[in-house]
Amino acid sequence: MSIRIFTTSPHLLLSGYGTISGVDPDYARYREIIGKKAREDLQGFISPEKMNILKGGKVVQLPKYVVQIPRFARRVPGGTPNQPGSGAGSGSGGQGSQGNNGGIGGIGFGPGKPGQGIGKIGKNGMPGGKGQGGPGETGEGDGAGEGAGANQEEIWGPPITRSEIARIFDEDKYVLPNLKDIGNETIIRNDIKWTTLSRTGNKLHPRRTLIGGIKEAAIEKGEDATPEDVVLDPKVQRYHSWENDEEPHANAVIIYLIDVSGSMGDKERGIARTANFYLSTIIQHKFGMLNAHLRGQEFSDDNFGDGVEEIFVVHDDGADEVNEHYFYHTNRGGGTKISTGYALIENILEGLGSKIKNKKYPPKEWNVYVYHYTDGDNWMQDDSTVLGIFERMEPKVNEIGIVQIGRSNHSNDSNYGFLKTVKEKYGEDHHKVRGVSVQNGTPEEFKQILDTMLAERKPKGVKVAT
Amino acid sequence: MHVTGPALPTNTNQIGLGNSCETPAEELQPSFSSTGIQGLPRAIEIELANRCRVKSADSSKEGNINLPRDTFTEEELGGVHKIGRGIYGQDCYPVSPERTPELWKEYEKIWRVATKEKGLDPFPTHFWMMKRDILLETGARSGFPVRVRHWSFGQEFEDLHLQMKHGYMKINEMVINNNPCRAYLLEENALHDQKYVICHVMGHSDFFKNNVMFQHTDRKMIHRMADHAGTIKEIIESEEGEVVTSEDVERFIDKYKSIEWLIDIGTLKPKQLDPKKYQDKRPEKVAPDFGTINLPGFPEHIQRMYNQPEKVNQLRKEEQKHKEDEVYKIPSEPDADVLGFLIEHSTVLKSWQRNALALLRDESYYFAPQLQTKIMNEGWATYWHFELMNHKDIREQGHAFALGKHHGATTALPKFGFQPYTIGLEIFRDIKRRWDKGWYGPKWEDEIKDTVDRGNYDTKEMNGTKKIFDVRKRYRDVQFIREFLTDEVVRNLEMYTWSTKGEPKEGADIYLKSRNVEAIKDMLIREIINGGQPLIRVVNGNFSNRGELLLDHVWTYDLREDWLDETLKNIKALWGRPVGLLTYTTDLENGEQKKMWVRVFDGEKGGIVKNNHVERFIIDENGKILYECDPQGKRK
Repeated sequence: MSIRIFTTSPHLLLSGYGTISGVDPDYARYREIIGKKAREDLQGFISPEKMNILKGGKVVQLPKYVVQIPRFARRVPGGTPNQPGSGAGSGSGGQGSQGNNGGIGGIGFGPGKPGQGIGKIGKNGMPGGKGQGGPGETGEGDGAGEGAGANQEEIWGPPITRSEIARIFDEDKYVLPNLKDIGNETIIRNDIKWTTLSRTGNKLHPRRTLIGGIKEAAIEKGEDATPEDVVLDPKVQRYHSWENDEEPHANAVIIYLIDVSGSMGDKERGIARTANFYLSTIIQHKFGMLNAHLRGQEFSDDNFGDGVEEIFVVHDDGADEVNEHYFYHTNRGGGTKISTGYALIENILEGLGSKIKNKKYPPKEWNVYVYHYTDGDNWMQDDSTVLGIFERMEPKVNEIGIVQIGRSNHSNDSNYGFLKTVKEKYGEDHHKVRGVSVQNGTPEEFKQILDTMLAERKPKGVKVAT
Repeated sequence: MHVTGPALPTNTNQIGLGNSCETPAEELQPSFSSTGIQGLPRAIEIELANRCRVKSADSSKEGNINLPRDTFTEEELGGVHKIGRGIYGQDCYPVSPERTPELWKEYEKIWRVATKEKGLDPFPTHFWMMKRDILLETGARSGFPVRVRHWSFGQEFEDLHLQMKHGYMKINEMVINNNPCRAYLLEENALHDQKYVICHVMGHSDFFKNNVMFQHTDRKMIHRMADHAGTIKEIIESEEGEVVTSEDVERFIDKYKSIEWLIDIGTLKPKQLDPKKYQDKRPEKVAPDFGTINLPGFPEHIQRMYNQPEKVNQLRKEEQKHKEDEVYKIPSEPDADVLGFLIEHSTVLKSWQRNALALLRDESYYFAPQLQTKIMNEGWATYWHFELMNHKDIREQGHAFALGKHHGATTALPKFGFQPYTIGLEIFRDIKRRWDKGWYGPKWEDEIKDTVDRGNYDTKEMNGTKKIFDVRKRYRDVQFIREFLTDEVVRNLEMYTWSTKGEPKEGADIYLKSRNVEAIKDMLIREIINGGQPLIRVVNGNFSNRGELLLDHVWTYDLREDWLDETLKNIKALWGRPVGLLTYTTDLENGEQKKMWVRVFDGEKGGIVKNNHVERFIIDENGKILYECDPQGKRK
């Protein structure tokens, strides 16, 4: 059977436009500039902006990087001017213009009497207040540093990929701690990849088929070829096909453990969330690079997170494996028994396995990173149980990172609670069991977390050959 | 067995399955894409191009209404072909009776009602159905499928994409001032939404055709934009002369974007640039024998006596100065067309830069009328979509709620800032009401004083419709607001002006200042005058006789100080010599206003050579320098 196609232009399919959404070249260029790959002279004009979006019926702000083209524009303290010329009805809110009295002023709509107070100037220099779709709802959250506030939610959308974020961090400074020796324990991924073509099969590759048809037509008729001459008979049909993927591959599993007892509030959860974001971003980026390197490829954003899986565990006086959403939003009122969490992790690694992913993560084949968020409270008797688990677990995993989020009544002393017990046993700078204590989730503290968890540390007692 | 597929499969994997119905090839109405892939037999291209041309609508049906619809012209195919990124195909196709029969029927109804019953006079309007991403890509380019390549369109695309994805914004309508008018519909929308958009577009299309501000805009702008893109691309690809890389062009366009609104926005007809001035012009050197008297045969000492070297030297200097003056001509009166001035008089622009800037200036002028009629244009379109959607032929039962929701979203009022759709709509409605009842003229203004009498006054003259059509023809926003914003509109919309107490920093209290209609008019006009852009003019092209460009800012508000420097630097790069700007700065603490002179130049100060050095002075009204100041106008 041969097939004739008249419905669409060969140009279209050849360009891959209709089938695979092509990327707007201007957009690609813009991403290059934002990603610091081009135009160094513009880097000074890139500024973080916030953009209002709707989520779950409320207005939240999306962090977004924009390149500002300088123009003559009206002065609004900290604000941005209108960008005219767009034909789309994206109606930006008007900004106040300069009044004679030295203050700013403008037009508004709504009830009220002259002289009545109707709002305040927001952080961005623009008037705040609950307007209908206006420039109101000025945010309190300040970048990623402050984590999730009560009404403010950080959403990282497509404006900047996580790979790009990872690249912003000093790449050389952070390492993958205690990475297992790839030379000896290279894991061959036994998988199939749909990457090749064949002449038979059940999944037609339309583009290659059409190319073949057009080639045939061009060979037969030369310059006089018409679309009717494009005959897609079996001779030119191409199908998707697979091959076994047996490439060297490094795997990692990141296990997040959080204490969800009554003493951990929204603020602590917010800190955990932001810290997780940064930690997993860097680890996934590094593994993406590592795997690309192992296969001899150039790293691209597609490699991000290659070979990395994430597992979420919550505990109070019992532990459960949960999904990501539940991890950040659940609240329980029970007591605290840290050992339950680590026991479950042991079980996931080598025992019954993960019930969500439905597989095991034997530490022989997987790099294992455990990050634990706690407020330091634990049953006194439970500490020794935990240390017992640590003894079994420590040689097998890559890292056990403990982030102790302090409450204000503990003042600045970082040595208290669970972390103190751990440090008494393992010391301040053990290469696998690491701990850090934070208070409020300031940007410096997140840096401190990263510095602790992803720094290079040599095992004690092993001399480093120079 | 040969199988032809008449309809485009939505999923390309189905191509192999084909379609069993036998349709002659001639009746196919495929969409077409030309993406500039080289190396295909030309015959295939032409054949496809011919096939894609949609037959004109059958004019015998529906009472001789010949509905406008899109066909591909050779020029258009050529224009798209040049760029290498056609956006036509299965993701984008014209609305036609074959492809979208249901919508086409509705469009016919709307067109008939709008033109025959309501008296609108729109351009023939072509609607295109688009998938979301294509619509956003086009929207980022202000509706033009092909424009000069620049990353800022990518940035705009991302904005639209994010806002749309997260539901904060929905593109209501996108329509281009072009003949035939071009408008886009989002494919995923429901039929009712599409009708709503079509009604809205009827208003815009009518406004573009009839409003006085648009009379000199290029109505073939879709082709012009594509041509501009092609010309710029040719500059890069040209192998003759100097090598121009795409990054050179990009940097140059950055500079243009920085000053894209420094044109004479308010003008009805843009000034034609003098092509003779396009060449690089430098003052001619005075000939070496200028001023000397040639006395052949006389001995040298006699020659010296008659020629007097000092006098000759002086003459030569004067002549040189005269020639320079002629080249660096000061504009006879302040010229708001800064871009045009740069094109004509700049000494550093290369010829490709001059050509490119002239094209881009045309694009600025094309958009300028839209800046100036935003309130009227949107108000007019909103007025008509409401009228049309409530017409008995177009209205559908059970869609009142959807219409209300749409209309509410379009006309929602912000607490701070103004909203062109609603203000325009309310004023047009107010005009109609007043001219229907005779609420205008000297009698209404002066003779009838009593409130009850005023309320009951009605001449039943019903001139409202005529009047609004007249207003849409002859006004622009500033005059429209000044003349027709009445107490009643202000009351209906609950408009007010607001201000801050003291310095407007974070946390400062905002209070409701006034509900007086004059105060509101003043504030509103201050925001929209000159299309909302600061008015910058060239005062002197050869300031202090050193080729310095002096600009002045007609103050309506202070300029943003951190962007001021950078913008001036961009102008300096285009001008080649120092650039200065006269503006005013307001002290935020006490409201005192001072005149400021900002200057950018390359020079030496204190033994250090500085490029793009910025100086600021506070000066008095006569131009005398009082002291040097910082960006906020404080004494250094």
